[in-house]
Amino acid sequence: MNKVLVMLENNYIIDKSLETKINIADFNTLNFKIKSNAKACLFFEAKGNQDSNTKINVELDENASCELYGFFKNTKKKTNLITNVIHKGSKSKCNQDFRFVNKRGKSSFEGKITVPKDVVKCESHMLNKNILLDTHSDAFAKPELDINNDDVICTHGCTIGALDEDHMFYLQSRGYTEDEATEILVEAFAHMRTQEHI
Amino acid sequence: MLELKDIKVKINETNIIKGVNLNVKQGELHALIGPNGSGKSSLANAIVGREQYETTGSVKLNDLELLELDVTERAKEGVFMSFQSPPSIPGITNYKLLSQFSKQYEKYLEDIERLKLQSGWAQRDFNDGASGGEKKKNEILQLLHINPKLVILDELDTGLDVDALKIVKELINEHKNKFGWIVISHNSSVLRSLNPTHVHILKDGKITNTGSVELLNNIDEQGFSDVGK
Repeated sequence: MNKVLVMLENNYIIDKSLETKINIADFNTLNFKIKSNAKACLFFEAKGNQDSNTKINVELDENASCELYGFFKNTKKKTNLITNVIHKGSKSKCNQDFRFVNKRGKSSFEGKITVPKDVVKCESHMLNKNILLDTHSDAFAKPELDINNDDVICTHGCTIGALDEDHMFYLQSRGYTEDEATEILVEAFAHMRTQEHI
Repeated sequence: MLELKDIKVKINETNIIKGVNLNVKQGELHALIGPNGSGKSSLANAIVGREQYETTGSVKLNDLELLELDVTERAKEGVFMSFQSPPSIPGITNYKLLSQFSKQYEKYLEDIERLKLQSGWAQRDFNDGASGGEKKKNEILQLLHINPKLVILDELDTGLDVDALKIVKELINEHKNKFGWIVISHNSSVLRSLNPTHVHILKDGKITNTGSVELLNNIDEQGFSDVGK
């Protein structure tokens, strides 16, 4: 019984700095509280072939910062991900970048950033990018901002599309097969996550 | 080496190339010049095998019919095109993209220096944040390591400054005898400086004139519209 509870509810309090990889396929809900001046860098992935439904809740205290990155390849599976970032303290920062590549697969990303009225000088970015490798794949995206004062920097963005045809042609003209070129571009798409801000 | 026979190219039912014949042998450099929209880049893309370019006729490379091959197979048979506007592909390094074809990392670094590309170029993302000139140099860098049979340079000089163009021209001259070349440009002085063995004028999808470097002088004096009248 205990084991089941651990799998369903996970609470992390980060008070210094933490950089870690987390397999979301093991969880339904993940709660992170980033304490004042602490810094977290969290990489999410979904190993295995099973579908997953995960909610990530993040609370940031004053001057806390958090990087949330995720890259998911959905080949014949479905990943549903909800993020809920609440800036509880002023000057807190958060950067989210979640990417999905679907091949006969489905993805759903719902992200929400909340900044209350009396919490100022926060910076929060949310980016969700999806690549559909075939016409049998779907991606759903719902980025949401709930910002209650003007003294913040917040952005959100979302893209859904196929691999760039010009890039595919270029790589093929250099001797890569269609499958090899796809693999290279998917790898490039995954690596870009840490370099791009909206 | 390369033999084009009665090449016709259509894009979305529009005839772009209307019957082109061309023979390129190893060591020959064919300059292809013509006004905007005459079909120069379309001809290059058709030889390389871009899908949207519906091509009829015959394109043989050492007696192998390229029109029966896809773009990857043509590249593996030795067709190389330096793109007019090479893409940027962030997330993969310059060297990684090439490493399937060349394991000569030391030579790669030497060539980077020779081309006066920035140090660290090998590990930078592919053409990411690169200037037009750097992208063109990167095409030449790949050419030196892929070692094809046929080289097509589409608008070679775009983006290259005078010094960069000089380096690229030196490299082309050094490797001239190894490959067969088709060099596309609007710029007759650039083409002249490469000492082409043949010069062709492409107008409205057809080669209207073929000759030696002299033909470039005629273009300079008379313009495209009057040459060959």
